[in-house]
Amino acid sequence: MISISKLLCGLDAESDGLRYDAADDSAEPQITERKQRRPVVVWNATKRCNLYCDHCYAGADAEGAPGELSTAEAKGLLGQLADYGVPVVLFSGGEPLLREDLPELVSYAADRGIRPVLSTNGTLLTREAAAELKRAGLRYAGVSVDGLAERNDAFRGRDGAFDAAVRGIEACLDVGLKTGLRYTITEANAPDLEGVVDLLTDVGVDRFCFYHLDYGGRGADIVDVDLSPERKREAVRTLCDLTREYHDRGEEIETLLVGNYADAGYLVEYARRELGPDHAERIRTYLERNGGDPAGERVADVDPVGNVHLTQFWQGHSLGNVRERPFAAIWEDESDPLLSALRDRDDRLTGRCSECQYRSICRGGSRLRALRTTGDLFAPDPQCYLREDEIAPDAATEVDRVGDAAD
Amino acid sequence: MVEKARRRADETPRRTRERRWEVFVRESESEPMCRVGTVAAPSPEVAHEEASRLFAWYARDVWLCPADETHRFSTYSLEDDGAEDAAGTDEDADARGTSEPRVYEETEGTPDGSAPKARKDEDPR
Repeated sequence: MISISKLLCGLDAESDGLRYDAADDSAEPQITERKQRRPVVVWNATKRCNLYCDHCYAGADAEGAPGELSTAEAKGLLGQLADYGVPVVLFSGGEPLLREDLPELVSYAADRGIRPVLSTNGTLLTREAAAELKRAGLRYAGVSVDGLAERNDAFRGRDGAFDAAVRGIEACLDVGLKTGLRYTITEANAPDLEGVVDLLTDVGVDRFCFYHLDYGGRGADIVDVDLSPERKREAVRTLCDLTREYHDRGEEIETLLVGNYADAGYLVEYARRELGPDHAERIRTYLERNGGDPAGERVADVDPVGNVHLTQFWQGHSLGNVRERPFAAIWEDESDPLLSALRDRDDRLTGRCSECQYRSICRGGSRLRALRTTGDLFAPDPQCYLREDEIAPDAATEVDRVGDAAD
Repeated sequence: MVEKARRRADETPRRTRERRWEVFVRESESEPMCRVGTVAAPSPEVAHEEASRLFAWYARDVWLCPADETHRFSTYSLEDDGAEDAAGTDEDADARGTSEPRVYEETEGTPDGSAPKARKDEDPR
């Protein structure tokens, strides 16, 4: 994830430019001179869902998977993650609110020192449910809204899903729970981007997460509606502009880009053009600490039956299962050739990635998208939208140097 | 006489949607086959295609076994881990102490520490 709001609107306000997450309520200052050492873990608590979204990476539907982790097993998993030093567990799904033991598990995670957060479609978030989760220790709820009412409901397969999700967001905010809106852009909902941004300010959400489509689960079936790289570039530029505008108006919505590390290089280019070379260089330094695409390193996923995945989107492959051995043993086992190769991917990347000046802040972007579209694990991410003159300025021809006017 | 470990059978499914296939690979002919996780696929042909994409750059041999046909016996139990955790010990608490600060990635799941903003229609006081 890349914070546009922090990089474009808040970097100068930081006392040392290094503090990544102030975590004011933490006993330990959270400063990113050190690279994150343990992954954030997404746990798909169930495969069941009350909606049927076109892009669901988990392939969720009305039926749960046979043999989903029991309450006792889930506590075993959370205990393992706590002992390993995992900082955050994202309760996801399916729809995690369909698990009756969710508050109990959120409380268990919080008691063990993990920051419990929630990814939900929001439609089941009543004020009572939100209050119960907050009491249990939930720290944040991210609610998926993929466009305004008409497009969102078509995408999510149910009329009224938009209104229900907005009510869910309001319920969270009413009980004082930090809440964000997640929007995954495709050709089908791109025209709603500015309307969604208006919604952020109307409702008063704390965070906006702009997701690029990844090609896992049902997301792999709708690759044809993914934006072209050119349209992605345009959408990200629009979001950068909008973020700066609403921050200028005093709407301090934390705004994050997710799922395409071409965004990292683009933000440096954008800042160089709009904010000057010094600011651009600070952003670049900051993003180098961030570390680029996190698959197999800073993000992990455990599915409803305990399979461990490289990211939440990459569920077609599993490194192992927590019913067989502890999470830490699976995650630390670099005898697995795929895991070790992903952690040492820089010199394996091919094509334009091998020459790219932004390789250290992108690390090739999504290996899953590369795999799905080319069959080559180390090929360039097909959704990289950086121009040739941005990737390798020294090698660029006059034709490549189309200039900023192209944006 | 060799004492048998008290292993239990783990018969829980490994699939959430499609069948899963245990993948074994060997880098060179002198090495043993190593299990490298599972892939999801509807048939052995598709599983082989998927495993080849993931491991062909590395492996000389790729074997696939239906995960549903694998009988697993172990002395390890995730559920027992949970029961032990629930009991808790001082040693556990010490182990979770400050020896390794948790450095938070700025993820969606990682609030920046600020309090939620007051609602527009609320009195900010």
